[in-house]
Amino acid sequence: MTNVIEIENLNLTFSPNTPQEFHALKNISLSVKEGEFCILKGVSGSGKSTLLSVMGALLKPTSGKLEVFSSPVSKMPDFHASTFRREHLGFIFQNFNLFDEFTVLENVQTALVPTNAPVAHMQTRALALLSMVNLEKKKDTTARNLSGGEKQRCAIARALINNPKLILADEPTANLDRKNSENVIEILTKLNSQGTTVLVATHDEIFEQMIPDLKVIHIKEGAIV
Amino acid sequence: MIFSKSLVAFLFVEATIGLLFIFSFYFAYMILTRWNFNSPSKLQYTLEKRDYFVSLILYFALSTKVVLLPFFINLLNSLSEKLPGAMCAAGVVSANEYGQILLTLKVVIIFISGTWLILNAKDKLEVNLPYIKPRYYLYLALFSLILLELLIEYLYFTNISTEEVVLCCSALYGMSSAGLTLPFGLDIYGVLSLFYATWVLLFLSYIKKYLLINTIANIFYLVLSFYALTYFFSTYVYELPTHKCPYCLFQKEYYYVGYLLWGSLIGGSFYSIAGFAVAKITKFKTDYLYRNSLILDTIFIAVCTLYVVAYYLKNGVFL
Ligand SMILES: Nc1ncnc2c1ncn2[C@@H]1O[C@H](COP(=O)(O)OP(=O)(O)OP(=O)(O)O)[C@@H](O)[C@H]1O
Ligand SMILES: [Mg+2]
Repeated sequence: MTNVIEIENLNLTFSPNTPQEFHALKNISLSVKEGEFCILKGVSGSGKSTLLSVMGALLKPTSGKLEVFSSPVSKMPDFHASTFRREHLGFIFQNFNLFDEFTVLENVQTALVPTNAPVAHMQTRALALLSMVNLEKKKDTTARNLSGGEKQRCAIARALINNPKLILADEPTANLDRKNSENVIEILTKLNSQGTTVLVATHDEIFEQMIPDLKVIHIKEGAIV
Repeated sequence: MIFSKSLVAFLFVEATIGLLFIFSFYFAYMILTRWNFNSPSKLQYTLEKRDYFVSLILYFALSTKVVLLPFFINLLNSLSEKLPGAMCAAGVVSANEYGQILLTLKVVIIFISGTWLILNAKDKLEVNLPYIKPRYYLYLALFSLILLELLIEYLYFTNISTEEVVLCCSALYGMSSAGLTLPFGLDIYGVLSLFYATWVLLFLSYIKKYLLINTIANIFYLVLSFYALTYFFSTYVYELPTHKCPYCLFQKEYYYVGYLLWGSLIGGSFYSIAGFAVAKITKFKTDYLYRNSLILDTIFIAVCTLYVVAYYLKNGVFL
């Protein structure tokens, strides 16, 4: 099976050559195969979000090789990196990153705007995803007025709008109660069973409890253990 | 030494651009010698960031350079008030032997800067920066020319005496036909015929896509236009058969038409030369650059011709 993510000897140092220098990722090598459901497990501050951001071409590493769908994303100039994200990735952020002033529907739709898709098409697609995450009743609510769990589901719907082949999710259950967490995991498992590769950063035991053939990658102080 | 506020501002900006080049030289050198896009090394990642930084600096510096050329012409015109004998930039440029060299050098630098800007834009369209080496070779060329330019600028402005009387356009360009220095041993009508014929060649070579011929013809057109404009068309702008000058055109009395004429002419040649260079270096089609070139060249010839026609319609005779 082909590798969706391939990482070799990846390093990332924040603020290099300054007193604040911090070696956040240390010689990371790993691979994620097509169709896998993976979790990246580690305590707070171990570098999960950082690693996910590098994979999503949101942060550049200091050295090492990183290919996603065989593209050298770590080398891509910003303009190409954003196109790549839009075409291949669904990214769910730890702190949601929703536009607070926009409605739920607008938040989900915006990701399609740069593709010049017809408005009617964007709406149909966005509404279908909102119904999948059980949020269609809130479609006209501004994002700032959503509860934590609703924000999370809105962020998931947005991440799915471009039909990504790879989903990178950063602590998607951290702000949710048990029932909402189960709901999120069901959505992710369903997508995974349809062929989407899923990588989740988390320290929540619930993934291991709910998903049978889960691949677990442990990260500690910026290194794979 | 001559002095004015705009001169100080001008020299300050020029020196700043020179400094930016000096600061980025180390990175440029590293990129030229150590660049290997596929390497996962720390050095390579650093160079990629540095390239981004240097490209951004150059983007602003070179865009400024382009804007600075008309400013420079304006500056020369304004300095003519301080030079005894000078009535326009012609007298200021010829105040010493550096003026003409400086002006030519500036045009050459504009051509290379513009090519760099287009190449940079093309490079950023690709994922793996394939044109980084040509970009930095152009950088090296620009770096040396800009240092040379600073030196000549220094020599030029410090060697202008505000006491000595300079020759101005009437003496420089208005000599009897015996003193005329037209190229290829032609008289002015020979130059004009060749000028119009070259425009036809520009047009045909564009239509037929003989792009190398178009570029060579454009350089030829630039040279011929200098003579045609100075010794023939300018007299129709000034409506005075004895007033021959390429610089008075920039003055208010003539509605600043010099900026349009020289701008379209230099722009026209530039786009053709850049079109050729960019097509050689990259895999991109540069037809649109050649199209811009033809449009500008045509504006130039049309405006020149219009002055003659308008004069004839108004007065029923030629000058
Ligand atoms: N921009 C930055 N500059 C300096 N240090 C940073 C930066 N971003 C993150 N770090 C540091 O890198 C380490 C890893 O951070 P990261 O956010 O990846 O942790 P995490 O595993 O996601 O933690 P959590 O479970 O709390 O989200 C932390 O010690 C953090 O302080
Ligand atoms: Mg985190």
